[in-house]
Amino acid sequence: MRYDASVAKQELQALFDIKGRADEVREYLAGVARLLPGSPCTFAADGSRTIYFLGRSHWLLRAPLEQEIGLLEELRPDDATEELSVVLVSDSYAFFEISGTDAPDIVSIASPLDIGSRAFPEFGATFTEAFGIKALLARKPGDRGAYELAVDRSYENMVAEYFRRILR
Amino acid sequence: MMPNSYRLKDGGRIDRSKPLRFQFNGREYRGCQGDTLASALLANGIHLTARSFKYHRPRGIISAGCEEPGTFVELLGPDSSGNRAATMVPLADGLKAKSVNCWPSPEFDLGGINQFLAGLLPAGFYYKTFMWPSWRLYEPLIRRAAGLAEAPAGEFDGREFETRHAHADVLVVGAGPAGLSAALHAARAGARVMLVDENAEAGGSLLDGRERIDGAAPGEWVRSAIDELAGMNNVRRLGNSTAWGIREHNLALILERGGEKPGAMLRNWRVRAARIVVATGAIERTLVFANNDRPGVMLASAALAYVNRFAVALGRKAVVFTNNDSAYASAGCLKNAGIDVRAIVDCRRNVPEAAKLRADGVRILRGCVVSEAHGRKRVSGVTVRSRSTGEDCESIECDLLLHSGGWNPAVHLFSQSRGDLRFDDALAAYVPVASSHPVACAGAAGGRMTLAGSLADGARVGIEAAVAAGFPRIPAALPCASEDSYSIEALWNVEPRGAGRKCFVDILNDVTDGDIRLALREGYRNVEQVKRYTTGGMGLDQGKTGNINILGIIAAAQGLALSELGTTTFRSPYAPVEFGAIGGTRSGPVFLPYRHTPVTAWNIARGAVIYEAGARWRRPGYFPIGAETLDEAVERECKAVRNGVGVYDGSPLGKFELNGRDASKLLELAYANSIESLKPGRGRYGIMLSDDGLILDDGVVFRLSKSRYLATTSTANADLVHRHLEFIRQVERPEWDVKITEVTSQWCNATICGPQAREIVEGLGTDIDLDPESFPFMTWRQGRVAEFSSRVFRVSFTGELSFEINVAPRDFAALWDRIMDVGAPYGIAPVGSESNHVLRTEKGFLSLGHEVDGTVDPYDLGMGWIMSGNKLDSIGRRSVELRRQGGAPRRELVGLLPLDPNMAIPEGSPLTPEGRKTRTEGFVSACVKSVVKERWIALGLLERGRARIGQTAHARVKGAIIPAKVVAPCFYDPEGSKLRS
Repeated sequence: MRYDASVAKQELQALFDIKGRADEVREYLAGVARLLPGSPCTFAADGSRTIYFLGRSHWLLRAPLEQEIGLLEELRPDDATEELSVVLVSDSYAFFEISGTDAPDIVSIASPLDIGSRAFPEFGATFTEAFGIKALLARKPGDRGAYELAVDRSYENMVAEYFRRILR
Repeated sequence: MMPNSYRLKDGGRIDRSKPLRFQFNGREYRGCQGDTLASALLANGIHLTARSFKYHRPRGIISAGCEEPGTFVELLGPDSSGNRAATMVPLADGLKAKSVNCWPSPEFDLGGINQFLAGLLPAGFYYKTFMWPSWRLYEPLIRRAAGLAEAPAGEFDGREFETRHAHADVLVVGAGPAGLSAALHAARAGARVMLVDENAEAGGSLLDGRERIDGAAPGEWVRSAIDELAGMNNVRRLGNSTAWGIREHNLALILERGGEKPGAMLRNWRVRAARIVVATGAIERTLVFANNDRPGVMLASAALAYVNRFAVALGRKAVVFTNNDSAYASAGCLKNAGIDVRAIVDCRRNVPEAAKLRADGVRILRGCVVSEAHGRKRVSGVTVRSRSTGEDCESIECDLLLHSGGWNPAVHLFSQSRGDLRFDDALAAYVPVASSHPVACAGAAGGRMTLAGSLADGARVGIEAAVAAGFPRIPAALPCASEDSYSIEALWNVEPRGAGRKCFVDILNDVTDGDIRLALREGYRNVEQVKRYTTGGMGLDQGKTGNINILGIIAAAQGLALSELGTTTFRSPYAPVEFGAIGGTRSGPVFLPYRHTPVTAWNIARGAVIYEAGARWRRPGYFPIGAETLDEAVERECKAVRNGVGVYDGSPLGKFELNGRDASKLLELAYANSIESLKPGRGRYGIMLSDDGLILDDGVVFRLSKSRYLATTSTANADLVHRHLEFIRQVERPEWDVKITEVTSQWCNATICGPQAREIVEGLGTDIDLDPESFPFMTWRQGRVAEFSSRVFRVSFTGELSFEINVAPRDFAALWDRIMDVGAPYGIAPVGSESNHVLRTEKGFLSLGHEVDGTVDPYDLGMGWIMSGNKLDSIGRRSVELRRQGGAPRRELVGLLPLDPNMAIPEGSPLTPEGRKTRTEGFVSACVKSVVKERWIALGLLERGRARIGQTAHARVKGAIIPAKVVAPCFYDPEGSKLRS
């Protein structure tokens, strides 16, 4: 292996795509997540739940899979107001965690995003491109740093092969 | 083993304690750590290193850098690589290389016969000389004779290619005096700096010269600068890295050889920089005189590098020919190294005293030129001509001829960034003016030809770059350096005396001054035309050393000033780049992107023939059993669907959820037919038009609830439709409250189709009432199927009773297995896209890429009913109406029955009147062997086709005309009773 890094495919997790005005989304999510990210392109982790604030009106709620049914009952996507769009997308994305000293190198091979600390600090999260396809990238906190990369699940095998080729 | 007969005893930056063995043209030699292949060859006295591209003239090493036009080599073995400049190949133990353009060797090359055929091979000879009976007859031989190195073949064991992205506030290209000064000042201001240099060692020209900085050898200052930069965490420095291109928005492309990680042999960096500082120095240019290409004729600057950096004595007796001051330092350097410098031939009548001092004691022939070099495989002497008399005045014996035609700022990258240039008369060179991008030149690249000037300019540009990138302005801190003079008198060529003597303006491409004049005589007056006609300035070296001489000759011939002439376009790559580096990790199985569904592995295990079927999805084409052919497998699958039951994986269909108060309005605008009237729980087939009223896509829209819809699209157009809908939402109607969420990968779809489909779904176990009365065609239900939470849709692409069972991907493989188990007693067949094509053609359903080819509207396909009469507006509607008001004949969808039922018509075949070779009146969009008609059937678009039903159309194919009866475009269940059952 040329890089001191590892890539681990993440288990399936509950994931909700939420779109709407920030104040309405904050109010809507208040019951399921206490800590909400303050600005776009960031995320906040609240215990086992993570909220990604990805754009002016786009959010993702992520939680362990065993919470999926409970969240469905709490959020009731089918009954959300017309102002909000809440769609279960747990299976739509495949998440990979990239960790290790050289994790930034691996991310820089995959994605053209500027991951320098000024442009993409800890708790940064944004849609970008990885290996030529749309991807969600998040930078986890910590000294050693780690990144999470999510792609459309149909590309899961291809992205895994890319990582294998980089790390061989 | 050859001795290092030309290696100097002392000096240089090589490590004599680390000898390296290498092979060149099959012979073994010895070099030192720190050598390049070129310096090692010269140290071994090897001057004849190559043959030329066209004439196969003997060639040697001309320079010491990336500008090398004379010696390109092919690396062999694990380092295999073609056309590498010998000057840029670091010597390594065990390196194997061979010359190009020669066979069997550069000493004895059969291709050398071309020198005697030169009269047949002027510029552009292949445009006019080898035309009878056909250029194709000669082309293979000519290409083989001129082919440079062969492309490396086979696997690259252990070699890694990588592409990588990076970002910088300030990217500094070049780690010479100006680049180091710029990087230091930008980094001190706090900017994120990336410093790249094509050499392993920083310093640039400082490595070769003998100037002083702060009273010490320049190496001291370089070391101090590198140490300071290394201590800053906002600086990334890359050695052995060549910036080979600048693209829009300051994207710089950099090829790194070796790299910081073992094993990564070639890495292509894609660097986005807020500011780019081009500190690439200047490139010495050749002088043009007879036989200026002989081995042993070298650039004067190369002597500095080979003597001072590599400790190589290039010859025993040298002559220096120049039109400027800088060559005097080279003469002085040779003299100090113990080489007999016989004379400096200077075309200028007045030589500055400061220049003379650099070569103190060397005889200077002022106002003279070298009119010809003698010798064949190595220069043996020169003839000197007086410019005032025009007569040859002296012959001098020598084995080394250094020449210097002046210096060109290396503005290639600057020019690629759309930077303007102007001709500077004082420098006799093009210098940068301004770029439309945030790119600036520093040092010699900006026309500052002195060391002190370069250091100061680097500091200024570095500070400005940092300020422009948002960092504070800091004061310049400059070392004390010499301010040597530089003056030049332009000399573009020396006219040869007598015919047959070649004066090369482009040594790599064997282009002579005569070729340039020939191009001008033949009417190619523009510099770009001359370049293309002669190939001067093209190729591996991109004319770095000789291009300006071509411009000078053109300008003189046309009576123009160089400022009036302009330059040819500087193009990337600045230096050759391996394709592997550009591809990076994107090779082998990931060369093309691909998408899988959860049953892709099942399909492969089942023996399906897999290929891409749109939008990068790898789908099964068909499932052969045993030795079945494609036709046999497809017939079996189709019969299963028509007579029993089949199942296919419809997961790749595009799916989008639209939510919001104005979702209905958006769909109403996007689709040609009415969507708003759709009731929750029901679906409707719809067609989407482009602005110009042509079919963009089709699909089914389901209303999930009052303000929620699910829109499905064709597989191939899913991304296109997504962009289209988002464009409407974000640009056309930003005031509307609509949210669009792609759910293509959230729902996988097993479509069970055939007369027995209902029994299979019942057999799976479901809480959904499948009775056709309560679950009719074009409706959807939510419930559980085979214990999985499901959305079931009643739509059909095959014309049969169908249930599209949508579940989450996590459940899909299990659902699929259950379907196969339950369906086994019914003989269920997995169905591939080939069978789907047959089944939909029988039904006359349209298919993107076949009937929908970007030229048709709904009326053309007999679907005028879809243009809902009560809609006020939808995208493309007005265009359709305007076009049809014109009344021009249109190609319309028809069925075709070949008169010979066993005759297939190749898809795409043109339809022409009576099959004549004339304007087409349509084409065959699909042709399949029908299992219900037991014959070949086809669909086609035929001019005024509907009015011609009953007539005969003719398909024109190679060697035959196939007549076919025009029929209605539906061959199966035209009433639709099967799919509604």
